[in-house]
Amino acid sequence: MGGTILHINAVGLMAALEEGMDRSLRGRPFVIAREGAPRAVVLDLSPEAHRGGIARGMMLSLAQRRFPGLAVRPPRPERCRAADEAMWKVGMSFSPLVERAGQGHLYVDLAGTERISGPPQDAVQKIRLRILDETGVSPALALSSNKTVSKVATRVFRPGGFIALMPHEERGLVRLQPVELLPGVGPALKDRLNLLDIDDIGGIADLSSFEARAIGPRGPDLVARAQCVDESPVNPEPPERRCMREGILLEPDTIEPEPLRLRILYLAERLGFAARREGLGGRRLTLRLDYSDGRFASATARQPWLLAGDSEISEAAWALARRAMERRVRVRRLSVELSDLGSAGPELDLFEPADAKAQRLQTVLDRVHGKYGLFALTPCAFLGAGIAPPAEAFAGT
Amino acid sequence: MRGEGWLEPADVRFGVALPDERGARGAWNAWDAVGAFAASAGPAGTLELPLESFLSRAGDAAALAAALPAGVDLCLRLGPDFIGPALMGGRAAFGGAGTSGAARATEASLAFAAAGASGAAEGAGSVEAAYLRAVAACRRAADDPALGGRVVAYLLEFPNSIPYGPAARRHLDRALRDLAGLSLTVAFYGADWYSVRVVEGLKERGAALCLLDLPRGPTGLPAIDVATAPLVYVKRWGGDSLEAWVPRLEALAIRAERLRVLVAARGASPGDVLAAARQAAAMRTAWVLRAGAGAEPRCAGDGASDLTLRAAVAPEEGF
Repeated sequence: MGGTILHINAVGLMAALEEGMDRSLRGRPFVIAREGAPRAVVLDLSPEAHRGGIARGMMLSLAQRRFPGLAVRPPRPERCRAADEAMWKVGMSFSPLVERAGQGHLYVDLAGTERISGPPQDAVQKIRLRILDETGVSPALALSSNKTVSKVATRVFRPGGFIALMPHEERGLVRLQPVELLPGVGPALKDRLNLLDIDDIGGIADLSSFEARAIGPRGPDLVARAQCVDESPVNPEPPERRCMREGILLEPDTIEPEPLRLRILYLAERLGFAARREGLGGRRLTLRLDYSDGRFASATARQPWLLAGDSEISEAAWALARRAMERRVRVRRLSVELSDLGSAGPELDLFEPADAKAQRLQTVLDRVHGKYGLFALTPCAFLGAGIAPPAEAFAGT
Repeated sequence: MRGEGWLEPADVRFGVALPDERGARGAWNAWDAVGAFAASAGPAGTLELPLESFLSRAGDAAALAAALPAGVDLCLRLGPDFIGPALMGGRAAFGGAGTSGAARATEASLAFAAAGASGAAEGAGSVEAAYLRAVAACRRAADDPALGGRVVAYLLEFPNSIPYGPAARRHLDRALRDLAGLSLTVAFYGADWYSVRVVEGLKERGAALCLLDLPRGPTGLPAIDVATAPLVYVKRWGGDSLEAWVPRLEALAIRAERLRVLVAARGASPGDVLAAARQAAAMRTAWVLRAGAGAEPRCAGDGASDLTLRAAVAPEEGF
């Protein structure tokens, strides 16, 4: 009996969709970027471009110097969203347990679907062909007994590969792979592990419990995952119910604090508005900065109370940004995530709270934004600094 | 969505892999098998056979070319001399614990040939010399006018006895460099080769990872599909069912320019070859029928009235 947890990994979704639309791109190095934008960066790329040394986040001008005549195609976020939705629908037609794990990533639990769709390995092939039919994309697929193993496996056999693992084959395959393929190992931890001569996931799996705790609070969990132990279920709850996220691409990128602060304010407004519209607030706030050189930094804070107001979210996010920003490198992208959500309905206080005026203002602002859109009222700070409201913000990045 | 700017369909062929059976003098001794295949093959099949099959005598290449229908192409399996240096490095692990029947058969033939061709006692020098001779012979075969450019793939097999390690990896790298320019495919019978480093390394060098279909079991290999080069090479030892393979091939054909599916014959007797040919024909039939079901697979020889392999499809093997 093999595993039933399928991971679908449409790596380079933007590039794959572009290649599906234009056959002349097949086998050629090309990138997705906003050509003509100041300090434009590579947003996605073909495998051939990747093999040629181009990476996501690289300056487009540098990529073009490296590959004279490099084909550049503009980003089409609406197509990505449509393809992502189509993939999710295909998954849902095979199992009710489908988890969205970012754009182009899905987990599908095929347990108990054998009488309808056949053995999981055959069902995977049907899913593969359905996705191909409906999106033109051939994602990598891996079938195993848990989410971690499936995710590592799709990273090995991408793009477009397939692997079905029996439980006894999982450890052997996962141990061999480089540490950066294990979910949870980022560039910083990878550097630390390399200092200890740990290059493969097997090296993490062999760490003692004392050593695991030395990695950090999530060390034991990381070691368990390296040992292919992951009991997290496929969670069909949509991500917008688990967390709320807003992001913004900074074009041009910047290192100046004031433009960054204003954009964080903008993100906090959007996030706060989205949360309040659902009657929600969040206890955990995470801010992530993506630098122009492709590296990133993030910081998280957990509050004892629910964050729901614009001002409290923006203040907390700005504090996190100052904590996370340790490098003197331009920032290309900012994202703020509100999680650990809870109901943030009005509380019935015996006395009027001290910040009643602020709350009333917030309510009025929400009404205006709800009726006329977010750009109907723009903070003076944006105008005073000569910063137009950002043209594009993207959720779920 | 698939109609818009869809890619050219791959050139897909099905065929038989002949084993490496040798006579008393060590020369390849499966000409009857070639004859049996030729008798059953249609205009556009494919045949895998050992490189040594026509190196022992002058004129064998021409005889082989003449024996096969004009449209049949060839896949040459490179002999154990090509992996001799790596085998020397991995000899400690040789004969490792339990292998599946098919893998054991392959390994036995490789080990037998390795011992015969290189000899354990001859030492590393002679192994190296044998390797260099084999590379030169391979280059000659690639340029052999008698074969008329019919060779579409060169298959390098690493048995279970050669574990992934620095020496084996270096040898693979060297072999790929020495044989650069040829359409190479590499088969790994040991599970420890299936890492992202090897997969990406093959992609960088333009070599195909041979997709092995071994019976699943405690010591088998996972079911893996991945295209690392324009050539996709599938070698079936009797693992997944026919029904399971057809959609897998369809997904692979998208990324391939040429797709070759070989069914390994259990032995070199005409009966074994015919049995493998029937399986190959059944796969091709299923593939062609799928085209009628709305998919877009294309097969070399389509439009011809006969199938690639004329061997009758056994009813129990057909869909």
